Amino acid sequence: MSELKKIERFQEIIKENKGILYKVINIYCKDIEDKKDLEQEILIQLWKSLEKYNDDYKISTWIYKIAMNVSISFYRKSKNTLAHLSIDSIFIEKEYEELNDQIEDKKRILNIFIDQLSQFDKAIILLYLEDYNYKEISKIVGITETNVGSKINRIKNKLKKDISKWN
Amino acid sequence: MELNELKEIWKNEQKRLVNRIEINETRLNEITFLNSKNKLERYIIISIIGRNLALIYFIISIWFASKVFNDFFYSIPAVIGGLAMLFSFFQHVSLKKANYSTMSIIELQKTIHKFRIHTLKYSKYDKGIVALWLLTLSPIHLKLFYNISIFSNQNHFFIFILIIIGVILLINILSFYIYKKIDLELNEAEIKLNEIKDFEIN
Repeated sequence: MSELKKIERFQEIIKENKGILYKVINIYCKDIEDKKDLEQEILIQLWKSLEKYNDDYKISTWIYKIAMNVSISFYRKSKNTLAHLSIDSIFIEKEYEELNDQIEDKKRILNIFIDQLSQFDKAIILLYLEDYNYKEISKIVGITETNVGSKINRIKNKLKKDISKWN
Repeated sequence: MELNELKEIWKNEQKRLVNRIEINETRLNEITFLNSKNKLERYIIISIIGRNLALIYFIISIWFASKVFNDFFYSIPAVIGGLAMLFSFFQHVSLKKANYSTMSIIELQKTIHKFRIHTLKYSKYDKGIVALWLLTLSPIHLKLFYNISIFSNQNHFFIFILIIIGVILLINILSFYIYKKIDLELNEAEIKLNEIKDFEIN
């Protein structure tokens, strides 16, 4: 792939999959400055991995995998981060209208619930919410399908318990 | 409320999200052209270069030893220093690069933590091996290039012994602080690796 083609392809991929990147970054990172650092690390890794991209994977799966791999590695590092680079984010977020109170409440519950999960459970639930099947999740995460099933069940049970506690 | 109900909310929210966010093209261009390396990867590459250099240092030691082969006071320590370097090379032969796109999340995280544990564990020995290598090679270097024979001149020998004592003391003093930090990091990495293994099984 020529350098110019690689640049074009890369930018196209980022634009088409901005939602995935935005979601993963926001799930794994809460601090605004950390988010920008993580975003940069993910983009660099995607850029470097582009030549090794294998058509067997869906592009979205490839992005999820790299973004989550970088995020989980970054999580450990960010706890010891001393300084941030002064950089801008690639995301520009427009103002949005809030939905009705009931839906906004459920969104908040979902976010609070995901925040409490371990780094690996976050990866599993994110893929589950994105409609990946157990086989695909097991391949991305690197555990057996049975294990994926039992982890998702455990997460569902935890959700039930937490919701009854919050109510 | 069930997870499936939240799944629907999630999906609808994602549709709205895609319309809500735009990409800052200028920033994307900057990043595209930024040819920087991920910190961890750089660290792994440096370690792999270090490992391969150990093999070169071994060859250097043997070459120096061959130059003074019959002078056992010089050649035997050089061979020992070279063998220490060879030992270091084999200790690090298992180092491999982390591949973010082909490795699964668990596999990559295990590789990273194993790498941290490996480098932290051996960093203590590596510092000692480098010091030993320098000390075993410097007498030959002085003899061949400056005509200074440490072992035939009492004053030179005395200075050399003082340097050895100095280096040992320095390593011990520094190691108290460095090793304390290394042990803490090692402990943290081992805990993380066990957490991952536990997650993989349960």
